[in-house]
Amino acid sequence: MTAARLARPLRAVITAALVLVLALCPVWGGDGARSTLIVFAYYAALAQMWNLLAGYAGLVTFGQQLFIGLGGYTLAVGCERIGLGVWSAFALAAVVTGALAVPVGALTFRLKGGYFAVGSWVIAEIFRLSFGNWSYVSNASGMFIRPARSVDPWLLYYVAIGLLLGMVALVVATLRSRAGLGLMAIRDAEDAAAGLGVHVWRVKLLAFVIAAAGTGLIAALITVQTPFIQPNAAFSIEWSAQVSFMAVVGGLGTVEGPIIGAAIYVVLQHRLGGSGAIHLIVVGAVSVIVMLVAPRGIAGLVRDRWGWTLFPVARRPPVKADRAP
Amino acid sequence: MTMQLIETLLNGLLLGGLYGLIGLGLSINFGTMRVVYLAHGDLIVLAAYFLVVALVPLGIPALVAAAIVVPVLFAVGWALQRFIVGWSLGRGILPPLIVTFGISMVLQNVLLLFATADARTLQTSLASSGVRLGSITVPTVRIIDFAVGVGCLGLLLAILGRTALGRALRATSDDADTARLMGVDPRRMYAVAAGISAATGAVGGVLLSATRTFYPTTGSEALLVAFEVVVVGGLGSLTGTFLGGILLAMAQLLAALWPGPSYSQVAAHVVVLLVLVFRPQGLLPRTAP
Amino acid sequence: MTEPLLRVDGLAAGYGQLQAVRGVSFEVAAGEALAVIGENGAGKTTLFHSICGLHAASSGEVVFGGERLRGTPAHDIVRRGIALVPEGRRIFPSLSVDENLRVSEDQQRRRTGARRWTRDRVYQLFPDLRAAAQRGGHQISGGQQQMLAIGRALLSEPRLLLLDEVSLGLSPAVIKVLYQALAAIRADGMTLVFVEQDVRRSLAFSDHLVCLHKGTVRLARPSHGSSVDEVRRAYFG
Repeated sequence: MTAARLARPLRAVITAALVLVLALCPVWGGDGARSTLIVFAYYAALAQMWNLLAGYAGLVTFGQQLFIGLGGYTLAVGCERIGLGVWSAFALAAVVTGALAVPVGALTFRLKGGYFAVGSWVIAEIFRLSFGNWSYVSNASGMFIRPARSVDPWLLYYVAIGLLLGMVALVVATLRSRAGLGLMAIRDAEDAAAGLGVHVWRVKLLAFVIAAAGTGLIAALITVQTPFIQPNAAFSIEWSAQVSFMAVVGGLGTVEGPIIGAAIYVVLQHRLGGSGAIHLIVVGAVSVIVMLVAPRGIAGLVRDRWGWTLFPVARRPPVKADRAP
Repeated sequence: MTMQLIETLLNGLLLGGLYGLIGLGLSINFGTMRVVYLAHGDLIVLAAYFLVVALVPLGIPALVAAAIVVPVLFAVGWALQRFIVGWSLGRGILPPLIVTFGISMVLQNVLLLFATADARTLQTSLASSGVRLGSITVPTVRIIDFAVGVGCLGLLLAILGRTALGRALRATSDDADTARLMGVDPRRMYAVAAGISAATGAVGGVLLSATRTFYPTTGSEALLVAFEVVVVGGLGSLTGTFLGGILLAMAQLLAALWPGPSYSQVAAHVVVLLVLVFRPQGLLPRTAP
Repeated sequence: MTEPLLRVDGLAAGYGQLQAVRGVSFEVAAGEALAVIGENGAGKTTLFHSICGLHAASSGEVVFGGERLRGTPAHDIVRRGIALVPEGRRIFPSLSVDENLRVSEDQQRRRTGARRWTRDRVYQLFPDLRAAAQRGGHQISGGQQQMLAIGRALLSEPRLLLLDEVSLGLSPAVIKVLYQALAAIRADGMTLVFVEQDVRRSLAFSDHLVCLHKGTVRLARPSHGSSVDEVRRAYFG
């Protein structure tokens, strides 16, 4: 069975065209387009990281907001309390979240499946409550990041796009590496993978750390863009709700899936007005429907139907097509 | 000082009845289907809303209303499983998680839409009354929490241990394929288990409404409590879940004593962390009932 | 010629690219005992699972008592009268011996008409089980587990009893007891299809035999008059 694949040069052209359009935004778009695209970019990047874990490593987590909050606060503290420049604080955010991912992963890996998902949520909660009670970061009222206001908005835009492209490149690179093969082997059959000599624990932790650092970096961007941070928003479970929606609807286990999902989400947000109750009801309902009816998401459907894929790295997606009888 | 400590521990024991009750439903679902029902907390809160916002304003006495809520929630849990969640089984861990999470989002926001974000509670005379035990006064509500909790646990254990349904449920939970060979339909069992779980949750919801105020978002809180109770108590043991509830409630109330009230929520989370580090299998092992 | 109780016709089943059963056909008359012989991996368990509805067949047909079974869910097939004693016994570990039996018995509550098998009758057939009735399913010996598995299957009032690996891992003394019980069940009118590694015993106990190799039927003949050597040759392809 040979799937009709988009020829390599065609894929390169399409990708280059998309990047070009994004790069030329100051030419064709104004401030509105810029803000929307920044939001799209960071959502897509976050969804990439979640997808790396859930779609490839088999680690479904509802606790990524831990690293969003941590990354954001590292930036805030870096700028406001330690006196770092915005971009140095960026780098610090990635370092701090990546480092913290090690003990958090080591602890939560003791839980399996759904318990890992909720366990990571619990840890995020611990941080949410603790930060809310910590005077150094102004408790629950939050912090304002003053140096962020002097960052040129178009610079921020290019950083956002750059981050998205960087995350995509990072995911593709990881998956094409040996660790990446190990990852997918683990996702498909953990015991078998272990039997083949894959260092399951180490590979999972590596993926977890990469995703955490990436998430931390993106969170720093989000914080600079806002430029305000507050524990209940930064460590909110809503991040997981949004990101899981994007990855699932877009297509788990594919590289273009999270991007598609983020685009859909942003459009949805515009139509249904921010994060009101109706918006969330639609998000929840659509997640359920897609998961039941088209479990491989949009990218998966396209792949199954026409064999098209922009980044041919994915092997079997994490949801089995045929159910056990 | 010791009197305060004893009072706190006693209150913890009693409140633990409610926590344990909240955890029982999650435990049942996980035991039968190996699914962490992320909508469990919201079903509990749905019961509370149904009671306080729909039934009580109609003039129905609280006890009668409670008796109505429980079978209604059984039906809701059964239907959700039969028509939605059941279709996500058998394809790995991701689909049931996404589906139950999606249901949770929908439930919370539907409640928000129809019942608004106002704080709610069940107005009863119980809220302010207490029982004197020597020099300690214990809120009546807490005693009821505990009594009902223990009662529910006993009822569930009896159903599981002595009825044909219970045997079929336990067999399905042990080995669904072989259960089929006995003529048991696992899908029917899962739906019944989900119904029982929701009904148990409804009892918890009724008690919750009498014990404190609640909001649409309380569902997430309840889910985390249920989750922690099950992890601490040991996956697969109902009695363990109940004991886990007691342990966690005690930890919370003790933490409110020292270091202070703003730490009581974190305390439960920290206890779970400690259990994960030092005794990941929980209090009671799987073979316990 | 009367319709056979069970007819398997060109059955194929497997796991994706790996087809464990590739076009198997055979018939079993009512009251007969059919031995299914084959090495590990020949497809015997997949065959049984496909007949019982635990595994979806990819093509072919199973006709039982004149009714087509393919597509029927496993728990319904039990109701229609086929019971499987699975490989590895598959006793429910968190239930006691008695409860293991009751699970099966409970499902037959709504059955009208006379019941041939009750728990009491099973305990008479296997006195060892009666002594162990309250012990946990995981606490009894391999031989007792096999007795329990057979007892469980009987309590679903089958017309056809499938047994996957009757004597695997059991001592000769226990095997003897088991076959005595099977003889009694057979004398009662039960139709049996069984997998038995001991070729001699398979020949002695069955009316017909079917030899599977790599998912296809290599030999199918009456047991009376077949020699062990003939069978062994077919067994190894």
